Amino acid sequence: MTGHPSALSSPPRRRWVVVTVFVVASLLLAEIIARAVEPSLPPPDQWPTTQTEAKADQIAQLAADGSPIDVVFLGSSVVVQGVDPVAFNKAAGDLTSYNAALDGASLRSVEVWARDVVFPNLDPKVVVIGITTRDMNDQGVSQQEFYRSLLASSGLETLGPKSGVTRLLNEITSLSALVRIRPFLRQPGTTLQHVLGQDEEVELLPGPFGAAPVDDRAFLYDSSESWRNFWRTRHFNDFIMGGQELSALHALITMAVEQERVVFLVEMPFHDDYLTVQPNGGAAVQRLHDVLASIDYGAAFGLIPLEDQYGSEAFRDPAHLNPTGAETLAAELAAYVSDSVPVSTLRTRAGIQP
Amino acid sequence: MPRAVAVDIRWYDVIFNSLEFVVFLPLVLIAYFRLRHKGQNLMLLIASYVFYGWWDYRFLALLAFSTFVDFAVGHYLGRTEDPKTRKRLLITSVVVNLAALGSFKYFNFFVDSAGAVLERLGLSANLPTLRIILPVGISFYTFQSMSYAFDVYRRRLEPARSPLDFALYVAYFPQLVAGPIERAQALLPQITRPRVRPTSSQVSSGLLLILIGLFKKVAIADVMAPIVESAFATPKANSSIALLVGLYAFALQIYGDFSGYTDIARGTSRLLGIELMENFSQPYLSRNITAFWRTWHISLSTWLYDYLYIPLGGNRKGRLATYRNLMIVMLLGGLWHGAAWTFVIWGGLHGIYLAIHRWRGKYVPRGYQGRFVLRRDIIPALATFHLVAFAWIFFRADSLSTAISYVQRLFQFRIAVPDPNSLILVAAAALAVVSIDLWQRNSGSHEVMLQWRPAWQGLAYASLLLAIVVFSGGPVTPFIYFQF
Repeated sequence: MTGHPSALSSPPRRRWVVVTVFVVASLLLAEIIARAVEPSLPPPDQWPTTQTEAKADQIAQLAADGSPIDVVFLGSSVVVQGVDPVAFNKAAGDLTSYNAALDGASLRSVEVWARDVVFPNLDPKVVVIGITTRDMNDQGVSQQEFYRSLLASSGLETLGPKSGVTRLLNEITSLSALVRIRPFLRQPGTTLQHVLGQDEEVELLPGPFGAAPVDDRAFLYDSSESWRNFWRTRHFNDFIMGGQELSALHALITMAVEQERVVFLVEMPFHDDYLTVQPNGGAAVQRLHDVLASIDYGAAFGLIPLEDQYGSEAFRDPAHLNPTGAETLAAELAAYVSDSVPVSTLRTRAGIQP
Repeated sequence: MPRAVAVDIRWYDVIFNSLEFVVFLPLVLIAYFRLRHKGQNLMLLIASYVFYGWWDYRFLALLAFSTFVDFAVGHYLGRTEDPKTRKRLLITSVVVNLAALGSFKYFNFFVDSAGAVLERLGLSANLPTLRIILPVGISFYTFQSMSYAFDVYRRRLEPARSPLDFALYVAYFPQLVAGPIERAQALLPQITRPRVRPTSSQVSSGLLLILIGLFKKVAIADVMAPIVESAFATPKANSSIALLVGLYAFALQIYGDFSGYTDIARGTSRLLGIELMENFSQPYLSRNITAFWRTWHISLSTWLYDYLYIPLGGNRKGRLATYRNLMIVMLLGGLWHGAAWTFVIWGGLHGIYLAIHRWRGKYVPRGYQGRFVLRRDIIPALATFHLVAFAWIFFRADSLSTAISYVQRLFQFRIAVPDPNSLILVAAAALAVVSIDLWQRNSGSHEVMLQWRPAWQGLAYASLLLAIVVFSGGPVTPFIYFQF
């Protein structure tokens, strides 16, 4: 192959003028087409999931309204389904809570989400982190996928410090419809489905205070083989505890304590069937139990012991509570948090008079 | 790509696809063309050390040490005729370079492997391991530096006179961290001699190479990355079709990533008036595995050929010795990529392919004549591609067990409708890669677009730019070969 430039004749200036004209004309044409297509497309997602999108909006709205949120719940879908913030607020009286847990998240994602979105906007005085073995698994596929997509999300990109060059580029690119619709061009199959009206089932949006939406299947206990296969291959395809996720948990607690928040950890209830989908069965649960028991961050930190009152009727599947279970747990948490951190202490700690 | 030895590249490192490089390169070019030859070389050396040190300045000492040793070896080789002394000097270069590679890259691999063997024998092993970072590009610059010592020892090359020129030869930033592994015979004279200002055709072809390289990296490799990640993270959770799509995606990813890097390196260097060798020459159009290795990572395959295969006896000592030599070269070639058994198996598979091809005795001459036709070209090229792709499973998998799961699941023929996004993106990337390669092959030039009519050129550049705009904007992804 001869690629040496000496083999090429020197192009005359006119040639390059024509080339440049064609480049500019093609780019302009692409921009015009993008502007024509843009109105028919939905607004591009800022966050990895519809639920994250909705919760980010709710949190921003709460912050804009200046609504005080005393307690936030953090965690994965187990907390989304397992803690009913409305029931908590009723049971806790003066305390207002928000369920900021995200489906698919693990502790690495929770740390980023809390640091960049939840804490700066809601400034909660109490943080309750609900944990299961799944959330502490460094090897889980779904955990890793969610973490990567969260880091890559444009919602997160817009937060945090930016260099001058990045800000300038963001400004310039925001002028172009082509840049604005590029999330759709990166997912041609999904966009095509949307254009053809074949979108997937619409996800139910969270209710007030980030409460999980109640769907038709909420009270039908599902421990089917397909559920188990899904968990074995997606959440427990391999299992390592004690690395990145545990570090993220420590970082999250440290950050919260340094910001003068009171932190509680709670080992979320699970059905006995949950043990069957884990590579190490009960050993992993015991290890989690030991790890949580060994964490100590002093007075601003506590591990919430739960009453053993969650039978089969409280679960929608082996890992998730159903609305009845979520209400029970919320009441239990409300009682514990209220007893441990009275509202007066909370408001004083934050410099706010009760 | 997750590996035990993975290199941690941050978004603010000066890499070709970072904003920092957009600032770095023009500054270098402006300063470069204001200086005379000696000043240019000194400035390029400083720029190269800044480029490398931006990642981790502590490893500059290792780079300087490797440079110093090989310059000294070359210097003394030029002063002595005594065969014993010459051999000792060569051994010094080999030992120092391989010791650096061994300690940073292979120490833990050998210790872990020894521990596993001892455990199998029923002996308890508590062997020490090191927690060390793998210096970026160490395999590239040590091999480049060693090749100089070999060539001076073989009297193919006069020793470098200027330590500055030699240091620039080892550290030259466009090719420092991921090649091509340049031979001193090709690169040193270009550094030593005063250079003329690049012509407008050199500048335009250099810029075109950079544009094509960025396209391959941003619009092909980075787009394929999540599809690959999803397939290789849990092979058991995917259907056979999804794994096949993931495998094609990785074949495209690694080609786009590495050849894209090479294009940017060559284009950047051409702007400075220095030609770097071709590292890829349409490898996926190869009609057999021997042709594949003549067109894939050419600088490494020719290095292994010249400094390993030929000294081992090449094909001069009979059939069996030839097969043995091919296996040794490919196994070590695999190990060069990384300290893991998966790389050894990848190399071993290619060794077997090459030996079988040699045994069949069918050689396809270099070069290419005529148009691509079905029986002569397309079917053999597809067969070769699939053999290469199969071996990629072991190259990409983060463990042997993952690779085995991948192969098992792939051949269970479990059919399920794959993700339409992945399917469309892989098909589009394949079309783009094959189109570019066919145009380049049929024209005999990597800068074929420069020969097109202005209107077609304009459309082609606009298409490349559009693809880069559409697929850029996410987190900066480091080049795969940085970790080697």
